[in-house]
Amino acid sequence: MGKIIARIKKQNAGLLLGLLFTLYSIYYFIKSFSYPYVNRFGVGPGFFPRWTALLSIIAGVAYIFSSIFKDKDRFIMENIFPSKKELINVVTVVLAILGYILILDFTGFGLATIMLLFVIFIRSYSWWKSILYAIIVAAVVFAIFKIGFSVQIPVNSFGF
Amino acid sequence: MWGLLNGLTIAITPTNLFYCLIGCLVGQLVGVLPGIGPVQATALLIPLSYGLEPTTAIIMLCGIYYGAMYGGTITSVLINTPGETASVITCLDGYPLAQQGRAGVALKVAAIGSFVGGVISTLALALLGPSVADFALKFGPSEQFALMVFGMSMVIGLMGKSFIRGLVSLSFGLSLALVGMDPISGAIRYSFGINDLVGGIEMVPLCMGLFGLSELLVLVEDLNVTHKASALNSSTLKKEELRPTTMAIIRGSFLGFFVGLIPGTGSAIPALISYSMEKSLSKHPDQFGKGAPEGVAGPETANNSYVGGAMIPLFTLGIPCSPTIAILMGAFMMHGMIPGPTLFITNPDVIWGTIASMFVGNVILLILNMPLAAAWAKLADIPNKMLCPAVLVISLIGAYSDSNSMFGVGVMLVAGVIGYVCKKLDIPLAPIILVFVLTDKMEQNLLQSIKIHSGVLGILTSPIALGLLVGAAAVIAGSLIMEIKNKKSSLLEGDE
Repeated sequence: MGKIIARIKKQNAGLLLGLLFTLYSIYYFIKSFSYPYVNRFGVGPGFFPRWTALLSIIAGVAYIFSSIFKDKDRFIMENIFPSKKELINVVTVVLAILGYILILDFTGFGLATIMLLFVIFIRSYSWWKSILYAIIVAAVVFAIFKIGFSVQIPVNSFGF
Repeated sequence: MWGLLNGLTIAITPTNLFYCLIGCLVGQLVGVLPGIGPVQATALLIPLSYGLEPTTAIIMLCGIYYGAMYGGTITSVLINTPGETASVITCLDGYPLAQQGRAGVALKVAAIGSFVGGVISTLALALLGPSVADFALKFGPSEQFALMVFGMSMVIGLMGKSFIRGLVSLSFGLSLALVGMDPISGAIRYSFGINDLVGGIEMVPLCMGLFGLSELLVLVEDLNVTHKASALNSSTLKKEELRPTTMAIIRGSFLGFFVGLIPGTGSAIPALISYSMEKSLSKHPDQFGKGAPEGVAGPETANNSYVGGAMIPLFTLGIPCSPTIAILMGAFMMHGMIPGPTLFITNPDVIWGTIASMFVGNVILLILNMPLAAAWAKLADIPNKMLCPAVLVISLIGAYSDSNSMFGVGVMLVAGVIGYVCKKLDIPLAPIILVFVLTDKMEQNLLQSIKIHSGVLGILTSPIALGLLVGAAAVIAGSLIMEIKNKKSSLLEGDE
């Protein structure tokens, strides 16, 4: 596992992104053929996507070449992405949002937000401070948006 | 001028005045927070406008925009942390001034310069806007299409360090914009059977993800970061500094406005040009970078004056010049208005009210900044571990309330991760959103002109369209040459 991670760290991120983007563009290009190029209005819904997808493919291929041959476009993974601890912070936030998406409709804004904030605060504060801060931040934001600006916020049957 | 006077009567109604003040306050509050600039602030705070009348909503959002710009200046001077790309230049002389105990001077000249630049450019906008709109009404589909191609070429030509990375960003924006209903036939494209994608990807969560969440992910990497602001101490200019600083403000006002008229420029460019110009005109160029007040005054003025200029393409042609303006354009559309030449006819109250509110907003910000700069700077002391979770919740509410569904939050999350990766790989995010906003209209205009002229080449029969397309080709060729010679400036990168 360690060897695999070490190998990934040495990869050219620009090249990987270029490959990914080119594949994405090729898919877009192929998919554009499922929309008619011409129709009774003249040019059809497939016309514009086909040409723009072609432009995307050119951009992707050019990016692959530049990330291989031009120093300023060569980004090695370990140089641009943060170390383990920092990356865990980033992943925690992403996963916390994902969890938030899954539970919000069941729990309502208040509970879901407190849980989300707790997960992030606990990385820097003690558990009781994390709970306290999570409740305070959720309540203040709720008051500003829901009461102050009448913004629609999903609530549970208890109204929060 | 009658329009402007009418606008003033709208802007100073108690409700509009109140929300202009709220916008300026909130914008400044968010703008002062390290790492958050006008584009992030406007994207994150759009939800505040949902429950408001269109005129009031736009006035508040413009206040947020200005407020965030002013706020960014404070952090640049006091903690050497620019909130936006344009403020990078302010750091060059602002922070050395602060280290010499003259932070008050830097903030004072920046506030006065921003005020003068903002007022002059707003006045020019009021004078020129209607004439440009009248002229733009003569534009048919061919000219509109060519104008958008020109705008896009400027976006990838001027933003970012690399033309190829700009092109990747532009292409990605194009592909996102194609999701949903085709503007002519109504056919559904690239929706993958997902109902929420039938109407296309929503702009607000996309912006919030690309600009707001991505920045947040960068900030959370190190939750323990704290900033310590310098003390203000002296705020008086020396006698010999008065004239060069005044001249820098005057030059910056006009420079910023005219650069704002060019699509794709962003406020960093007038700030950069102003700095270079002041340095070359100065009798003491060696003082630049060591604490020259005109090195702060010129760029700050130009950067604020740019806003008035950039509003002209938006109000008259429906073309956003920067991501923040694109977000404002989204706000217009959200409130049922389509920016373009007819806006002066269909919604004069909104337009003139907004223009007049810019005067009011600048006055409010001058009052807020001159005596209170030190108090604002205290906000920058908030550590990331407290700041990030709070901003995250605000962005989640914004993404949710845009369409009242969790789908928006999902879009924001995906866009945030993409934005984070793009930031790491130095891929500019601005082209994605500018192109995303323009593509629908561009496709519509292209298809209409093909129908009118019975072919693509027919577009070239219009001299205006031909001129714009030649201009676009020249910009692209120039950028390519610079790319090959490795001469693209690193200061032109950034979101704004």
